[in-house]
Amino acid sequence: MKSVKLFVFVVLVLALAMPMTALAQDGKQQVTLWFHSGQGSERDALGELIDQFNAESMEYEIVPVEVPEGSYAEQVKAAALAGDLPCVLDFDGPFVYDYVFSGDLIPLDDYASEELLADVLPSIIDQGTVDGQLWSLGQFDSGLALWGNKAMLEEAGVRIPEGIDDTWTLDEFNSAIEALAGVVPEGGYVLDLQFQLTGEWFSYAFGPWVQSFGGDVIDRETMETAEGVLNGPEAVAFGEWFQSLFEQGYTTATPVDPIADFTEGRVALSYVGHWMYNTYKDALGDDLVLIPQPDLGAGAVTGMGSWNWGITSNCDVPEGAWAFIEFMMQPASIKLMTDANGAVPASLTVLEQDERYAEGGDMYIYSQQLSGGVALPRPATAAYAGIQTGMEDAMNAIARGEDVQASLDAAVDTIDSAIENLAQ
Amino acid sequence: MHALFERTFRGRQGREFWTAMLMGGPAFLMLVLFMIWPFIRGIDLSTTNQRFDGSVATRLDPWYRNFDQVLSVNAIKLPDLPDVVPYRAPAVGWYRERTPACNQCQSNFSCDITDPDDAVCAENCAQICERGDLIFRWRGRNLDEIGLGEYSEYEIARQVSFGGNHYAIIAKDPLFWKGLLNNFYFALVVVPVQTGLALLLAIVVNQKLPYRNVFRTMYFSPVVTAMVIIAVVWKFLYNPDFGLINEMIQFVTFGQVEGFRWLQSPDMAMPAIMIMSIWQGVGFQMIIFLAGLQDIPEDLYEASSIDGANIWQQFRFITLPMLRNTMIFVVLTTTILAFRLFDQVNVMTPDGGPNESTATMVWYAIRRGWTQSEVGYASAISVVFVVIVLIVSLIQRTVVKSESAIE
Repeated sequence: MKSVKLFVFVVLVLALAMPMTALAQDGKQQVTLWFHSGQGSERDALGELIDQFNAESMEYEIVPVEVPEGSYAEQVKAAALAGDLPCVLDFDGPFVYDYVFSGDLIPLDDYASEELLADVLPSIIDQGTVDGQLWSLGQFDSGLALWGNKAMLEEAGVRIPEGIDDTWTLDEFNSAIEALAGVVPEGGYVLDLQFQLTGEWFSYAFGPWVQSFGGDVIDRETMETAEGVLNGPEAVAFGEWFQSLFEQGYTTATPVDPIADFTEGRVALSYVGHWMYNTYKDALGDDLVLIPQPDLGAGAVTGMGSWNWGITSNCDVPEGAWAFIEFMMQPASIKLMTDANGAVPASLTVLEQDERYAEGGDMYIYSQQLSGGVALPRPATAAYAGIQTGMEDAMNAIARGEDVQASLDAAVDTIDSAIENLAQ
Repeated sequence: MHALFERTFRGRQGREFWTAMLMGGPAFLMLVLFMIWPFIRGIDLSTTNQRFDGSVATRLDPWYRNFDQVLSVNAIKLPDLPDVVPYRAPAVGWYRERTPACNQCQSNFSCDITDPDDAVCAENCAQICERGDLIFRWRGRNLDEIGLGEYSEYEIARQVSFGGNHYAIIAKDPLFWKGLLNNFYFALVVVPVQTGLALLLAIVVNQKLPYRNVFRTMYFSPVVTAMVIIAVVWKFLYNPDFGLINEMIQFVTFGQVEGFRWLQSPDMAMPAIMIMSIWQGVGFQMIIFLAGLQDIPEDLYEASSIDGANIWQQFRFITLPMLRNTMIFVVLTTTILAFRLFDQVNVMTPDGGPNESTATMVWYAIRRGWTQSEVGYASAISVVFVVIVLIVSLIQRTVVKSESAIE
């Protein structure tokens, strides 16, 4: 009897000790990492990079956790409040201000060598810099313009701009849409605006159009209010034009599968970012053209910024976290990622070698927009979550046909109350 | 004292006490951990500016500031309509909502009616814009200008006109009040309709029909399916262009009725959610009613039919009174479920629907607390919400009690 009890005791102790010995086996320090579970190709590329790093590194082991994208930012905030953040954190561009404001990140200046930074795309460094310090680095920047179906554009007799210098004006854009309405098949529509998406899309995609009309989503000089900017006459003019696109049936606020609509030739123009490149290219081949952001009156404007990496203040092994980020910023790693997701590589070396971004390449327009001053960063404010919600509500309301002025006034109220709550 | 202690904790009664504690323990623990403690924390947080992102929270001064923000509501008389109502909204004053035709003209000719250089085009547009229904809206961005500076923190919730005068209901947080009204609207329609329909279904599937178990299962199956999945499917069904429901309406009416813009129009969005919620939930109440129906002794019906009662009299004087307790249970639970409305709204109209017509209180608390990370403010909303549901439940209980006193 006694020996049985002893045996059970030993087994229990061993069971407790097991996980610990498994960890200590290869003597590596563990570095936790969170990333958003985005598109498949991007996820696979990241998995491959983490495997490579773990195989190469003698000292550190990355332990990744995949978090759903839909409410990624909210889950990060919840973890921050609970003091449960991982070492390495992946986050979308504009949230860096929020996290720096809340003290969730540590600056990277002490780690990043000048040599490394010299090869990084300036827009990435701009995005990660807050109060003169660098807080985040990303492997790629985003590209946002109009994907077009060349066969349909030619059939409608629409001029295809060659670059950012001869982009469409508002009049040309309107007449292009009208002409294309004559060639889209039954059950199709002219312009896909990705209204099936929720969350950040609306401020990322339509904020630039508001700016191109002469308005903005926040007063960028003071960052203290959106009053008079997002509900001023220029923004209202944008809203009325935007609403007319829906009213005339040129686009839809209730798409079922807009990606299939474009790849199967029911839609002539698709307003979506670089992340659809591989899908669209596979479907349309040489018929896929990229049309630069149109000039809607006050100059062409597009969005920029994408997911990037930072080290949290919760991290016990910042050196390990940096080792991983440094590995991710190597040209070879960046190339592996951007080949997979079609984004603009953040390394100048890779960008120069990538023929898709060279003159005449499929996505030359993106690098032109980024280097030619068309791309503007999203506003540097910790109240960005308010801008995101305000824009999402207002764009949906305007698309449904609600009063433009009232919808934009409501967005301003949402943003201003978010700013006020920060100041308290 | 000692005797009481002995009686309670020792001997046979004592054993019963300990057994009861042991059996109830996990449930008590769960109640304290997940109901009572969070509620106390919620009250505490509602007086702070706690955020979700780790920044330091402080106690508000005065402590009730969040509650003041949530609850402040007022009404103001608006100035009279001017003779000419402009299209461009001033900071404070009346303007004319643009009709779709007017918008279309503006974008087709891309002319601005306020620009005198563009005369012909402007003339065209002006004519088109004059036609159609005129909707006048009042905008109040700066209430100081018209001597209402004391209301500068308020926003316009709703515009009402009667007796030739125009009024605006203003609130510091209009969305909270809209959510509250939507909750009541939902409960007032769904509770009676769902209860009635459930009773009807229960009576139907209680008949000795062939395959009645198949029908029972069919009516009950939506209840065991996750609400989120049902909401996603119904979102497609409600699609105004390709949705099955509109296609069916067109088919049945031979194309005379075009169908509705279900989730896109302020009038139809809430009814659309109600229809879907009733369809999903009715099976549950049906099962409860079915159990109640089967508890009614058969001889009551036999006796009444000997006395010459018809089917309606049997239903009115036997079935309904015998189902009284079941009915009370069903109405109470349906009411509480109705106030909890969130899942379907969040999936089908994540931004609160057209004109916030499907925003509910739970939806709003989650939007402020989770999406906008204002935990303190969201706690205040939740506390007010709990108090309101408590009052509604107490009123229901009182009504039920006074009814039983009559009988």
